[in-house]
Amino acid sequence: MVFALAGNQNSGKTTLFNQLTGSNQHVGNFPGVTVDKKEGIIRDHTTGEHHFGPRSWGHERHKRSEIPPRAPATVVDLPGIYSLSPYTSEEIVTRDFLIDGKPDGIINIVDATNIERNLYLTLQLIELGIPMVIALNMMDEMRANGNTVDVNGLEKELGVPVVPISAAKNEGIDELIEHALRAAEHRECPRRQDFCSGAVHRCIHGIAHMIEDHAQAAGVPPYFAATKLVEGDEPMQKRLHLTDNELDLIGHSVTEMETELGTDREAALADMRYSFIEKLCAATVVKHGESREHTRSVQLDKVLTGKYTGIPIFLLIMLAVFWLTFGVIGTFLSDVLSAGIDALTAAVGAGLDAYGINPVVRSLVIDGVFAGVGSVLSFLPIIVTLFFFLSMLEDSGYMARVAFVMDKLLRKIGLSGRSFVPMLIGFGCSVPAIMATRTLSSDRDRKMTILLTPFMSCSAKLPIYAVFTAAFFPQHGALAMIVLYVSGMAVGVLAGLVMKSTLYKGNPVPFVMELPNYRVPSAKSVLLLMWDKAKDFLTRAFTVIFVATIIIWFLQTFDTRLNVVTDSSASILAGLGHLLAPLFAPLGFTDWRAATALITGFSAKEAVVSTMAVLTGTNISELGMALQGIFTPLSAASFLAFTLLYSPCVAAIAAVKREMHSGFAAAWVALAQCLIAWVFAFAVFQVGSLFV
Amino acid sequence: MNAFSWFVLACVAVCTVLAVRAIWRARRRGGCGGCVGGCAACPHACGQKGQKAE
Ligand SMILES: Nc1nc2c(ncn2[C@@H]2O[C@H](COP(=O)(O)OP(=O)(O)OP(=O)(O)O)[C@@H](O)[C@H]2O)c(=O)[nH]1
Ligand SMILES: [Mg+2]
Repeated sequence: MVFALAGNQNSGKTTLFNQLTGSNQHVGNFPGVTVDKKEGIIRDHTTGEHHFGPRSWGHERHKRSEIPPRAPATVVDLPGIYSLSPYTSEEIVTRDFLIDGKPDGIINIVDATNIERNLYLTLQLIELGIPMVIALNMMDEMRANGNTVDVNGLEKELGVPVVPISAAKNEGIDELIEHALRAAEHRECPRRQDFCSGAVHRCIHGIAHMIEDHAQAAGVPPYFAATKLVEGDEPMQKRLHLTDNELDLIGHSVTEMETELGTDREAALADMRYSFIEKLCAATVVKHGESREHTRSVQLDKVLTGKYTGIPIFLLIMLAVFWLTFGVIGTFLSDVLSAGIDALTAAVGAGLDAYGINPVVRSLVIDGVFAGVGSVLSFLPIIVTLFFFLSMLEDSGYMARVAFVMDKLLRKIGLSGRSFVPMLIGFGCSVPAIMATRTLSSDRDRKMTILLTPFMSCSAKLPIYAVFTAAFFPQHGALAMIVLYVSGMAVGVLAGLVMKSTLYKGNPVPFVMELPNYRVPSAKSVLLLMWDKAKDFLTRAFTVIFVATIIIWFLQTFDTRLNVVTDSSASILAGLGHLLAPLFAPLGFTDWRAATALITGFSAKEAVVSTMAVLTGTNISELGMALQGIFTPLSAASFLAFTLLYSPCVAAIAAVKREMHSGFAAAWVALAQCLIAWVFAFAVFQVGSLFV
Repeated sequence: MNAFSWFVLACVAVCTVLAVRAIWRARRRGGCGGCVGGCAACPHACGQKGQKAE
């Protein structure tokens, strides 16, 4: 049995999905978090018992005896939509699943604090004629404000079961599951489909009768198909294979309706739905003025999104986040961790020696694996700290405001505030950022955003920056970081301007985004996000970085005849590096090790650091010293400039290829980024040379 | 080379095979699979914990 979770954006679908399945998909106080469908099995649910999914902690606590045996039910979390006439590609995902996925039931999540707008989608879902249950979410907030909903009245008018729940507080979930299972098992379709009267009513019914055969052949409910045709939905027209004669007749009855009502077809339907909802809510919902959350949000927004205060406050917040991460907490924790890793390396080294290990194998373990993986691992705290702050900002609802504030700036380079979201995610990792562009409705905006996202410096580059700033600019750590991030964005802006006037002429679509109320970030989602980040970082360290380290170690330990070399400058790798070194000579770093590190960075950016550690044969605390032997402060700056901008890693390029459906675009991104990086680093080095 | 050295070498070899297999599987899984096990920063964390990801 398959249930679809459908509802407006930010109504709590994913929160409910996590409660139902015990998984931990990303939840955020931000419209458009989920961009793809996710499937999970509903686990036996006992209210209030689990706070984290049992699966994620490895101990299952089923109570088989109490639960009647039922076939396992699956739920599918879908991207949020506002109507079934979708515009953006993630909304199409939802519509396609609802119509063609043939779910056995729909769980429609309605945000009770925004009930009018949410019910607009509900009325359309009802037309699908699929068994359905309404989950009235956020009831905790309603209750706290003293507002009430007459659930029975709502149920009677809509003809579908309504269950008040609070997904975040885990209340009412059991009852919801019961109702959903019952509705699906007994195939209880909505008892009412028709919420209109007068001209709209006549028009829809007339068309519904006329196209019944076509609709049945195409596998869509006739009433739903008729409403879509009245709205003028093109995909539906194509799908039904209507004859010209029928299209004429439909056009005729729509025109008749339009003249009778004096509005156009879309407005007529919207009007019909909204007047029904208005009446319904007047009878069933009791609200005592504005909710506290809303009043508070409006007051906060006066400052946080103010015309003159918005951008300065955003910059201040980001400065504080960077300073805390790189200047205080993260760096401190990283130092502690790297001291621990060094101690462990020394202990393992001593242990291996005690058993009289072969020197080459010892080098593999100590100079290869431990130096390489260890050097990357020690940056774990910095990354976790950074994402601690970012997820706090996101879950509080502030990030949605930033998108709003940034809209004006992004418009200058031909994008809208919507593009800010993927770019922000790009500071984490380009892969999900590129996927997040699915929330953009126009193809032009989307492609441009994909091409610009790699300019946002991803978190995998952090270890590189941290090592180099610690070695060369120790007094100005946080400042150097900010300069790096800002120059990445600045080059991105330039690239955006160029694209705007060449490849992607035209205007961005208007920016509409609902601003959610501010909420206190939930400890659970912040912790889960940090845990996810930490786990993924560790996975990368022990897979990609591990393998890259071993390959590098091998190439630098042996020569072409597979003899162990005494000096790594006679190794295979040095030979390869020497070939590339001239390319980088104008940028100021002639050492073959720098060139090699950049190449391995192609697999994953952290590999630049691990490669440096392996090639200099040092552990993390001495790496800085070793680097000072290879770079001057100026060539280090130029090297940083190059790493900041050069081609994204393999995974990101693959993502570009997937999302743009073009191998050419992906190759172009890789090549163009390298070129830009070269030019930029060249400028840094040559201009710098004038002063130093 | 003594037996202990061979043993350590074998351990490293096994780890390498496991790591390569993990990378390969993540790639094949699609979705965010370009990056191993999701991604250092993936908020749309995918294909984890027995969930089927598209
Ligand atoms: N107070 C309260 N907050 C809730 C409840 N359910 C969800 N939230 C919050 O609402 C916000 C949005 O939740 P999500 O689950 O990400 O919403 P979604 O519907 O999946 O959103 P999209 O994926 O963007 O369409 C988060 O900040 C949740 O913590 C609830 O019952 N009560
Ligand atoms: Mg969601």
